[in-house]
Amino acid sequence: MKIEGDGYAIEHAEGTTSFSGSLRLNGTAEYQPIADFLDESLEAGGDAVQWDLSRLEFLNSSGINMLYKFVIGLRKRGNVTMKVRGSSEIAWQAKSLANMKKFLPGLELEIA
Amino acid sequence: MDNELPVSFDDEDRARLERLRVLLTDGAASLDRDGALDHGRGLLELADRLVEDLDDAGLLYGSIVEHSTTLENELTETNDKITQLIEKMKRYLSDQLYRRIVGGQAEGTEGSHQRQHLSVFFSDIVGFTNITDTIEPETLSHILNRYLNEMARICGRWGGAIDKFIGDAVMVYFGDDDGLDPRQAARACVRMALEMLQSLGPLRKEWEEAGTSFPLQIRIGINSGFCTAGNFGSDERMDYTLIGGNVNVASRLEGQAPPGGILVSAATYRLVEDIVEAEPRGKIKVKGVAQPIETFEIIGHREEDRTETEALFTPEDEGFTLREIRVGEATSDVERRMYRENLEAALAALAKPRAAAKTKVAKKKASKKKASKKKASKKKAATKKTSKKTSKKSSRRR
Repeated sequence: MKIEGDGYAIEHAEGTTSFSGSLRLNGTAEYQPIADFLDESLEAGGDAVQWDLSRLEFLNSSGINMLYKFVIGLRKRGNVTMKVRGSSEIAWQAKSLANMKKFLPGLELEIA
Repeated sequence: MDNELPVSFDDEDRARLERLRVLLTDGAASLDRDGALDHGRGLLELADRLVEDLDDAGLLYGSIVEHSTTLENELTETNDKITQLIEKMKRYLSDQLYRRIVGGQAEGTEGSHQRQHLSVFFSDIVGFTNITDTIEPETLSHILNRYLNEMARICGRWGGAIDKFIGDAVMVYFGDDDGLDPRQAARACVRMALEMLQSLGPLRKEWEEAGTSFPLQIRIGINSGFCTAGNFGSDERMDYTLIGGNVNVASRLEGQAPPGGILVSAATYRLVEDIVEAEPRGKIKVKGVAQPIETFEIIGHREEDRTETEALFTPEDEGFTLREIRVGEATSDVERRMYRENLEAALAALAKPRAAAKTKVAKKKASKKKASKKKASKKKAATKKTSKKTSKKSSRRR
C-alpha cells in the first residue's frame, strides 16, 4: 500500500509504514487521506504498529497533529504496541517524536 | 479523528446531560433509586472520559506548539544563513547578476540573452605585472584592494554595473538595466572615468608608501553600442556577462589609451561631445570588426560640465573645502587639467571680498537651482541615482 503526493511518499509494507520527503499539506482536511491510509494500515497490520520516519525531512504542525491524534487513538483502542523510528539528523524529530510517548507511554522510540 | 480536538462528546452524552437537567428542574421524585444510580454512573463515566480527553487536548496543544517552535527556529536559522550567503555572494558577483539571482530572474539557461545598447568601460593599471614582481603579496593585495574599492565606490556613485575585476583590470557597463538611454549611459560612463582619474592622487601616495617602484597610473577605454548580455558558460558554471564586437572594441581602446588617459570610440564621443573636450587620435583596427574604429582622447570636462564630477573644491556657505591634490611625475595631463580647474575655482573664491562673495554665492546658488530644475524636468525618465545627482548638483557651485 502506498500513498504519495507533492514531495512526499508513505508506504506500508511488511508491517512497517515508512514516511519520506516533506509533508506540508494545509490543515486537517488535506491530511484526511493520509489519516485514512494510516487507519487502513493499522487494520492490515493487526496489533503492532511500526513507523519509520527517518526519511521524513519536514512535517508541518498540521501533520504532527494528525500523527499525535493517531497515537491517541491507538492508546484508547488498547492492546496495541507501537514502535517509531526517527533520525537524529533531522532537527525536529528528537523532541517531537519523544512527545509521542506522552500520548502512548508504552511507545518504543528509536532515534538513530 | 475528524474533530480538531481529540475530545469525544457525542449525541448520547448530550442526551444524558439533558436528562440530568430535567431531573434537577422537576425534582428527583419521579426517579427510583436504581435509575438514579445508573444515571450517576453514566455521568461519572462521561466526566472521566472528558477529563482524559482534556488531558490529551492539553498535551496535544503543548506538543504542537513545541513542534512549531522547533520549525520556526530552524526556519529563522536557515533564513539567517541565506542572508549571510547572499551578502557574501554580493561581493563576488556582478551587480547585474546579483540583482537577477536575488530578484529570482536568473534562470541560468542558454536562452536568456538580450541585445542591449550599452557603454562599456575597461581600465587597467599601467605596468601592473612589473609591480606584482617587486612587492610582497600582502602589500600588493592591500594596495590593489584599496584601489579597486575606490574605483567601485565611484562606479556605484554613477550607477554603473561592475561586470568583473580581472586582476587589476575593471570592466563596467552602463545601460538599459539601469534605466539609462544610450546618451545618459555614455555620459555617466565618461564622467565616472574622469572622476576615477581625479581620485588617483591620494592613492598614489599609499602606493609610494607601500614601496612600489612604479607610480600608479591607469588607462581607460570606452565604447558604446549594442552588446549581447546574458548567461554564458557551461551547464555547471554560468556567468552573466557581455559579449560582442563592441565589448572587444572597448577593451582594445583601453589597451591603446595613453597612461592616465581615456580613449573613446567615435560612437561614444558622439554621445558626449557637448560635455567633454577631446582630441582625435586616429583610427585603430580591432580583430573581428570590419571597419577601423575612429578614436578620441578625452581631455577634460567642458566648462559647463565641471560640477558634474565630485569636486576636489567644494564651496560651502561660509567658504569652501579643498581636498588633497598631489601632483608628481605620474600625474597625467587630464588629471593636471582637473586639478587646475579646482584650484582656479578655489582662488576665485578666495579673491572675492567676504560679504560680496557671500552675495554672489547666494545669487549663483539661486540661478543654479533654477537651471537644475529645468534640467530635472527634462530628465524625468532618468534613474533614481541620476535624479539624486541632480538634486545634489543644485547645491553645488564651482
